[in-house]
Amino acid sequence: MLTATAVLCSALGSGAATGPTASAQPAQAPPEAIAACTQFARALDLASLTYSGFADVIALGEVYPDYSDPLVSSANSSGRTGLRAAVSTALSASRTPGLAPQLAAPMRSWALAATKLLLLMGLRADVDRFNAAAAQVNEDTENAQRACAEAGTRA
Amino acid sequence: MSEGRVDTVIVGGGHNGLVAAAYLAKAGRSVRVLERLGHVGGAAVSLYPFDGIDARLSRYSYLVSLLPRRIVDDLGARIRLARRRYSSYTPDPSDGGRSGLLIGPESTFGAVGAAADEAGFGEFYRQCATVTSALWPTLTEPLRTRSEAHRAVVGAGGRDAWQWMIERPLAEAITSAVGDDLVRGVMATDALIGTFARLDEESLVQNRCFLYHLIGGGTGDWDVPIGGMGAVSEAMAAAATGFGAEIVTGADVYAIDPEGQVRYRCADDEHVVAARHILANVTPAVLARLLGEAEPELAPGAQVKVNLMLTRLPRLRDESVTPEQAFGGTFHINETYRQLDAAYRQAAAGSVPDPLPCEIYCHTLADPTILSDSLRAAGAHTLTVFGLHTPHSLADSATPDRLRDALTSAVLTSLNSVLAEPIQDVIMQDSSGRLCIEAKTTSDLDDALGMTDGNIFHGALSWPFVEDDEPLATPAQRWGVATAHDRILLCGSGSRRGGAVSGIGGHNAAMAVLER
Repeated sequence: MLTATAVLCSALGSGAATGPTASAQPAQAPPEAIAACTQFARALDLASLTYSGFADVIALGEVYPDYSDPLVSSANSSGRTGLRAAVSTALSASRTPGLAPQLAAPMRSWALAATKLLLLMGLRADVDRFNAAAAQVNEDTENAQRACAEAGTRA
Repeated sequence: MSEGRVDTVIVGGGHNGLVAAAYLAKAGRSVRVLERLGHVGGAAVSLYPFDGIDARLSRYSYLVSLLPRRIVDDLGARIRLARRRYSSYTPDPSDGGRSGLLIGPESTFGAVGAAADEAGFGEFYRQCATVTSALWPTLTEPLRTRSEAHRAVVGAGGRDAWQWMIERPLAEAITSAVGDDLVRGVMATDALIGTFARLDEESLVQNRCFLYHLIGGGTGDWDVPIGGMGAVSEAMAAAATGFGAEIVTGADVYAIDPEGQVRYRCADDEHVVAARHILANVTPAVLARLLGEAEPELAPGAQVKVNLMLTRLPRLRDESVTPEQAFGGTFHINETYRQLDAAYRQAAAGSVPDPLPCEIYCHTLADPTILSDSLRAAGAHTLTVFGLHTPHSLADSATPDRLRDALTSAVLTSLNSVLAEPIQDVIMQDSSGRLCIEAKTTSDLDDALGMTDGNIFHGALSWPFVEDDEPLATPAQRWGVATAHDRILLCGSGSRRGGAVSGIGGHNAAMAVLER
């Protein structure tokens, strides 16, 4: 039941808790791709750092989280703050001038899925709905990272 | 089981049912309205959707254009409408909303590089008015034939406009009139409200939608009901009961006999009532179900509505307009002509469009009476976002909750793409800390209101006239409310000319009954 939430933490958080996920390094990649992928990587780091606390809290609880619990409430609040910034950063990356559509599209898609998580946190949804949204974020994360890799960046 | 007999039973207490009840009761007929829910109004209701927030929102339908003054006056209904000062504002998606087109007392075509289109835009709507001003008065009269309607329009100087508005796909007229993609989109959206279509479709379903969005009052103004949409239904209900109609809420009709018997449950009791006439203020599919007949295929709905409660209006990237100007009319988001076309194709392929074309309306700028004094003083506002091209077929792809989440986040993302700050930052929280957001999908409309597949018009819209060879032998046929059964007439949005909050379906059904 809680797998997707946990996977989200894993996908976003591999190494994120201790530092940046990766930095984009030029490998004959277009400069706009490097800039966008670097910025997108920052969005992933930020999302991971801030959302994982909330994900951990609800993963340990009931199917319907107790939002009156101070721990849940606090994690919800800080998680939303971070995700909000992450979404903004990802959207900004997707709008990098000259960025190829195959890079911009998965970044925009990731931002859309992360907005859904943000919405669910605000609406105090149940774990099942978080799992579905988290699975989508994971998929979009992989798609964006694959696109960045194929463009020759390491973000 | 209790039994009774009345002249007319009206199944469904939406606003059209109330209008019909009022007219018939005023004429001295005995009328009983049976409403399944605990309140009347159907989609024209206001309520408090957010715990602890003293704001009464129009939950479903929200603007009034097609309600004829004559109906209001005939019934003595206390309905007040507020005219919006601005027609629309459309931020330019190509620069993230740093510029935009304001249309109103001082339009800004030059701001989006479309100064050359201003004259063509004005001329387009001037020509549309030759059609709408000629047809509008006929909506509360017996149906005209196509030839008669054509003659009336030509007589009003609308020969050319008839051709491109009624006979040819609307895309041709719009792309001939103006060249700018954004301006074209502003013109096109009226053809796509609740209607899943391309602008160049030969079926012309988009033209019919466009016509009904421009025909109200002959001018196409969409006004804000003072007190919210619930105030409109309450005024109709007051008129109906004032004239002597009986309204029964909590009355769940489960069977209709073509011979005139209606069976319903109320407070666990079974009832049957016999009537000379039965007016069906339900969709044709629901009526068929009640009759035990095969359900007709109806066009599904294609919209999502999101209601928001804000602590204040959000800041815009475009510094040349104030939020009061931008939100004072219809605020179009990601609705350029090309974006509308792309969104249609994405949705037809089974995906939620990205970006989602949306339009926004802010009730409280025109009518703050729906807010408490403290909310008003604090600068709070309601915002309604109406997302296009989200067909009911998307419901096949996810559970209702997940689709609602996906559509809501698509709406917020689309909105955020043109704002200077995320909309989430200004969304109020209710008494339990939840964000004040509620979304209504096509499935929600079907479940809550019995609107089959979420079509807000109870099916595809029809022209406000009949083809020359269609029969007009009976009163029901002449008024566009006929069914296959003599005693049973349509009286809601599913009747010809009945769409939107107009009361026209109810008026015309009542006239057909009184003409017999």
